[in-house]
Amino acid sequence: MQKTEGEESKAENEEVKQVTLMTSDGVKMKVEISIVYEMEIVRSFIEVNDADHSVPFPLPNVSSHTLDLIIELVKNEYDDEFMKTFSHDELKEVLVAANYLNMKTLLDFIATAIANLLEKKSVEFIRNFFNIVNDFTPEEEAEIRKTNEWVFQDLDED
Amino acid sequence: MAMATAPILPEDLILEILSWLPVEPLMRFRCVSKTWDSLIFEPYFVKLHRERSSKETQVLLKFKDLNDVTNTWATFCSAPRLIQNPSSSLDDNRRYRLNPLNFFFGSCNGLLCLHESFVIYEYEEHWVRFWNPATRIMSESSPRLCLHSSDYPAKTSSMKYGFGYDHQNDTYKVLAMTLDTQRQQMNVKVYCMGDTCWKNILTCPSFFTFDQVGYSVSGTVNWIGLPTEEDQPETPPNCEFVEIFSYDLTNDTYRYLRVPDYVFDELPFAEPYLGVFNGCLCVSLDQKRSNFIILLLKEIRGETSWTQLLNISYESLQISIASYVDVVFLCMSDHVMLLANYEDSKFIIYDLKLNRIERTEKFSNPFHILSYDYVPSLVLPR
Repeated sequence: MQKTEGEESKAENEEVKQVTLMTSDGVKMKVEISIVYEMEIVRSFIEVNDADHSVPFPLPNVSSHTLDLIIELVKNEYDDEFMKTFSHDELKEVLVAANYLNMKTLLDFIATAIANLLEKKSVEFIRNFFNIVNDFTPEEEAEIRKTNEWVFQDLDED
Repeated sequence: MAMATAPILPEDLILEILSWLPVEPLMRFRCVSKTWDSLIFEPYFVKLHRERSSKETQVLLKFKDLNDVTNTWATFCSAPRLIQNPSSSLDDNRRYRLNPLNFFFGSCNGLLCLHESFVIYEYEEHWVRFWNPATRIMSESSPRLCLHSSDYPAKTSSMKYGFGYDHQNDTYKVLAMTLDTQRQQMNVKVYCMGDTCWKNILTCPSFFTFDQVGYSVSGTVNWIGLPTEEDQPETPPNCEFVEIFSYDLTNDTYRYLRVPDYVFDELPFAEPYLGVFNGCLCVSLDQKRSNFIILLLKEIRGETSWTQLLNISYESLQISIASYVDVVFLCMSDHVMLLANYEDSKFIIYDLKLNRIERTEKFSNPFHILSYDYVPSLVLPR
């Protein structure tokens, strides 16, 4: 059966609805265009170049696991409950990826979530979480703790 | 396959996370490392943090025990928490004791201004210090404003103070207005935070204010009062309308905003109060000894647009009308508002949607309470 012109362009649009992304671990993932459009870095490329969508767009800094998490988060409209199942490393990986992909909403969402997680934590927990070496002498640290005593109350257990 | 290693976050992403935290944990995290200690007070980060927390408005309360003024305190908390339990919010163990001889004014980007003075016969000195209640950092004293009675025959009590932020020049400014009774003028002096001196800016016609201190909102400082009569600048005039004297900190100009639909009479019955609520000027007024009204001024710079937040009879607020009514608006969350009635020493929690009192609560002590719109910040007082 012969296609009319309208049907033909409709079929083309349907093809455009997915973009293939190539993750750092070499996995090709077909992702809905509505989700890809939140990734400014990919979006600007697709929009500027009349690119061939069958060629995978390389994301050398994002693993397939992280991309899976991001897709789920966006699909679920940034569901808090789903995000709570993430490990600390997963949170950090998503944050780094959101920054690289230039996903503003996701970046704010994940940064806020990590901030909430850290709000009641001790200084030791923070150093561990961010891999930070304490370069204060014990005296210097004790001095800051003493002048700001009131901020060291009611903390979570590490 | 390579071993999965925990990602190490670059500094800009760490700051991205930290910018969403309240001030208290950030003060704790100064201990993390020397780099963090300085990062947290970097102007770039302070600004980012302020922008991100600008909607987290809290209520700062200043209260003094009328039986013992050495019991003068400041504390802050969120409006919902305060409304839920006003008395215990005042007893919070994080409250901060204030010197009863000093007063503070202005609440702007998390900073307050404290006034101190030294007065002897025919000579007085005034200075301020800046205070950030969230970081508990207080600045050194500002240079002194020295006044000789030969220059300024007016008494200290007629001086007016204001504090606000000039967005255009990124400067915190203190305003002091002295009254020149002979010329019936006010002399406006400005001190910019961190500067070395007070500057004479302008003179303007004298204006009778109900409150010595002004309230700052979007780059202006405002006093509520009455235009004065020619010959008696220090006494309330026999005048029927109330105005707001609004000083623009960026352009050093002033203008008068008429408070609408309001007839001022019988002065001692109830004084109008000015305040700031959610970034808007807010005026509480008595209406004909029968109603308590609250008006909001939505936009101070453009065309004035007043809206009425509340108009209610004293009877509905269970306030007995004696010779004087003293009720103030402290805060509001959703449709529930917290008022303080000093005559009976009690809090009134009023539901605007249901148009009824939700409950009342006695003060634990005979306190006098003032509330300020307040956003905790990292801004460093200088």
